[in-house]
Amino acid sequence: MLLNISDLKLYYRTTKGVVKAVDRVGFSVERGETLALVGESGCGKSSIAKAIMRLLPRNIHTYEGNIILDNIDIMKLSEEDFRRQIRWRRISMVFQGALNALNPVLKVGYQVAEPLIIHNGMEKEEALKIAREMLRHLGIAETFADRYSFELSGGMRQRVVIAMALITNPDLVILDEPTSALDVITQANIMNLLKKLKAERNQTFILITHDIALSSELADKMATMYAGHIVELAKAEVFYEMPLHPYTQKLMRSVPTLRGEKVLESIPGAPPNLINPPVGCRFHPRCDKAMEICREKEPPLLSKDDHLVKCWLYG
Amino acid sequence: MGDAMLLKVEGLSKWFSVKKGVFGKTFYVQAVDNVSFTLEKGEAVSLVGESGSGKTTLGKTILRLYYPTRGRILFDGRDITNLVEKELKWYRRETGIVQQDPFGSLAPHFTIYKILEEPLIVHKIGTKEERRERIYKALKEVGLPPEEFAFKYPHMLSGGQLQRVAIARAMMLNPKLIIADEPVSMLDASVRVEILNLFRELQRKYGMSVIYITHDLSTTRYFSEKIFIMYAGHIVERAATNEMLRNPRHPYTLALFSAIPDPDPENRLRFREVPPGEPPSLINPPKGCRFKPRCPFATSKCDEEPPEVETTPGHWVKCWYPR
Repeated sequence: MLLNISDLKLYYRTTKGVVKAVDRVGFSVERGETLALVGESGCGKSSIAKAIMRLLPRNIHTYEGNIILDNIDIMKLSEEDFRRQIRWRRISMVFQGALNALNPVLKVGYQVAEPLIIHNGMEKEEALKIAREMLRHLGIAETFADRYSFELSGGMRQRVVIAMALITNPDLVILDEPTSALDVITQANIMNLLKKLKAERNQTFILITHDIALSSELADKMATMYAGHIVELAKAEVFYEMPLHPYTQKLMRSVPTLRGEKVLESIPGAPPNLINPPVGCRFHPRCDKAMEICREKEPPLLSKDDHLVKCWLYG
Repeated sequence: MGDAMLLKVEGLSKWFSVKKGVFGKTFYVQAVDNVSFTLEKGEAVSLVGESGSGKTTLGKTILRLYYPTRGRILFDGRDITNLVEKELKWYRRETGIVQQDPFGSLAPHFTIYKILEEPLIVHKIGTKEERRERIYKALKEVGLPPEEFAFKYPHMLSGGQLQRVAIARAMMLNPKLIIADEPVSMLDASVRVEILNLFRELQRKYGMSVIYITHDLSTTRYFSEKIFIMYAGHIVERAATNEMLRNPRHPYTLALFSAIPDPDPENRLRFREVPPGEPPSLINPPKGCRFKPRCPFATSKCDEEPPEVETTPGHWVKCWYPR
């Protein structure tokens, strides 16, 4: 097991109260495996990424739990040790919209090489050489290493950003909406590239997305998030064929498909506010299967042959 | 022109001029180039294209928010191509727009009531009482109880609710044509369905024509009778929705289809066959067919602009070698 997270909490302090963005979340990822976290905007999926990378805003209220990477509890490391040993060296990330945040006055080759210079203390020349090789491996001709980001197309810039995340050979790469700014054909090309990296390098990914169709392109395991909780977690085959949680089921029925004749359904209501989430199951106000107990007691995360579901229907 | 026809677009182009370099040489961005189609009364059409394909420019040119560079636009039998703003007031009444970003397209310092009253005031419609009645009716129709919502401000509403207001505003003057530019792309999947269904219902009820602009081919089936596919400023394929989904014929449309995943865990086990590269610059687009540099079937013939060919009745393809 590469990564094992348990009881992770990340709460933010705001003027209106404490926002429980990530609330007692746990999951694990094997080496070479891809876990996808899916959910609507505001469900806490990007906050999980921030918690793992320890990239925290100032208004933190609570940040606790266990994040075990290869038998080390990285939550226990000091900020200095975390920065030296973990961030970008062992866990790196492709941020949402990062392709539009490349530095316009630095050549892209240097930007890819920079983590090696900073985190691994490598000489500039050697780092640049490795960066060029990495770019070539990701389908960008070496001559582009000497160009600036505005000279590159969107798909190429996204490849540069992926190269930045891979350059230090990290154990784990977190992908936060890696294709949301790209058009569909470029998206397919980038997903092909990620599949290739998964196969060739046995690369481990956590894929964060709102798009259930897109996550099926890469995920071995799927987790649904709702209002700060993971409410379902299963192998991809099981998750897509037989989702158990009413929220996952509704989410699946709301996804338009190109092939087949599916009747679309919407989910009534809106996600709850995370300052005062509903008592009991957080999904109960929108759930048509809600029972008495759902309004009173939070359901436990029940396990049935590796399929986890946080719902009283199965309790 | 038959009675059923609402809009006829002939050879429409919209080029933008940009100055580049020290000597200020003028270049043209050929955002929309030589586009022709017709739209019937009460018909909903999806205009599908990637970002930068010119779909928004085409929409805005049809609404005459831009001056066309070339070509003709006929609306209800009247030529509106070169009318100036003063002569367009009636046209503004007959058309409406729903934009992508509901947070940016509604005035933040107006109440919902005032947002909906504005078009009525501009066009001097009704007394205060009559306007109030119309606004309340419109809010009810988009599923927002007027007592609760009329005097709220936009920031107090969710994205889905704001998009309902935007639809109500576009429909305030009972227009014959609405152009909806990515109306649901900023909303969560669960809300998207709701808004598209509502829009479709109102479109049918009032017999409006709608051009639904989107990058998301998979939502078009739930909304429109026809699909137009746009690539790099050209409309490359037009067909009835079911026909398009079953028998796409333009190589670009085929590429688009093979790029779009449906939720299926098998997807991760295979690579998608999609063309490499990205759409061309519209300042200096390829001669002839603009998909040529990425097209696996291209020959030297494709250096000439392909004509639109009707392969089966109602199915038009702008390609020398339709599949």
